[in-house]
Amino acid sequence: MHGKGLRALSLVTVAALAVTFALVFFYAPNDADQGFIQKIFYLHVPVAIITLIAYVVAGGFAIKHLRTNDRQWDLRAYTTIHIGLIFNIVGLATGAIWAKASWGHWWVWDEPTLVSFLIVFLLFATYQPLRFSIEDPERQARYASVFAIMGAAFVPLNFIAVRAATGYVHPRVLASTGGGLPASMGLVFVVAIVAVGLLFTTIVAYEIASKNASWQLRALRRRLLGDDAVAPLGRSAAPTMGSTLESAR
Amino acid sequence: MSALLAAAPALPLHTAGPYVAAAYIFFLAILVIYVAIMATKLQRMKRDLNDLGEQLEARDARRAAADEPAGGADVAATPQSDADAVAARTVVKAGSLGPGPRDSVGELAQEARSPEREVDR
Repeated sequence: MHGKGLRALSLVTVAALAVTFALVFFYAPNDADQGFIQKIFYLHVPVAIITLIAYVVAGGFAIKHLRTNDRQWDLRAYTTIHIGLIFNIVGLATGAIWAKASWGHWWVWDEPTLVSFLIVFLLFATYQPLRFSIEDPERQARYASVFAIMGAAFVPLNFIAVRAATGYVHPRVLASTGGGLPASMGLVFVVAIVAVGLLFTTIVAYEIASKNASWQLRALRRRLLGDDAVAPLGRSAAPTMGSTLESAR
Repeated sequence: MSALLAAAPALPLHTAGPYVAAAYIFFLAILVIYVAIMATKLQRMKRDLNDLGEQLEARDARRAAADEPAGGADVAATPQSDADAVAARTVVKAGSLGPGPRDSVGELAQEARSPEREVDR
């Protein structure tokens, strides 16, 4: 059965999130410049960082898929990008709320960090339509993997390009000069990154377990009741397990 | 809890509070929506499993009834087809998604994954 260790992972995630929120509101000091509004930082920045890491990890899964031709890697890449997009939306939304409170505008178009994050979102938002446009599951998985690898390569390049840009107003957290956090804030920030990372991992694990379980259910139905008992699949952006379920482990 | 309540009024909820609350509530709302979607999927899967179990029970009952006049004891003792063997065990745990000691859905899934089984789209 898929989803081994999900219960433990879920409990750890819930605990980590609870600890993070407690630390954010009852331990981390208010920022001297921004005050209480800076509390959004502990949500917005970890979510954004985990999103970008997720896209890179998805690229790794895609490479593995192309090397092994194991559909499980395609499923992992698909799920990671899928959940990454949702986290991306959370990052954009919380960033917009913070910008409104801090700068007085929901969005600032001449701010490279914001625009680059939006570009990354739009890039990966085309992943699902790309998959949906290809009917043959083998080709769909292969093309999607190539896309995921290209997207993953774009993320660090994009990050470096933004770093190189001048004239930004967006604060720098991870910087050798001009950034940095007091120890108490830094601790909460690290805990928040771990908690959000755990949350991401848990959700991805649930999604993969759920998809594998539905596929096994479908295979069982077909095996026990015959082909007529299983409705044919329509076109879908989600990966299929192909011609066998051998790879479902 | 009392410590939490004692600390809560210190939060400056009158100025930046709504924005901070909005950001965190948005995040939590997305989480709740996700959990709701997963719960719906799980319900559907459980329903499908129950349905599968009922259909198999009905099929087994039909087969048992059909086999009885032909000398039931001998027929029951003879090796059944692969699908029949799986079917006979599925009814035991068809309603549960949790791990079972034996004859669990997980075990059946293992069989469904066996190399000889082709599952086309």
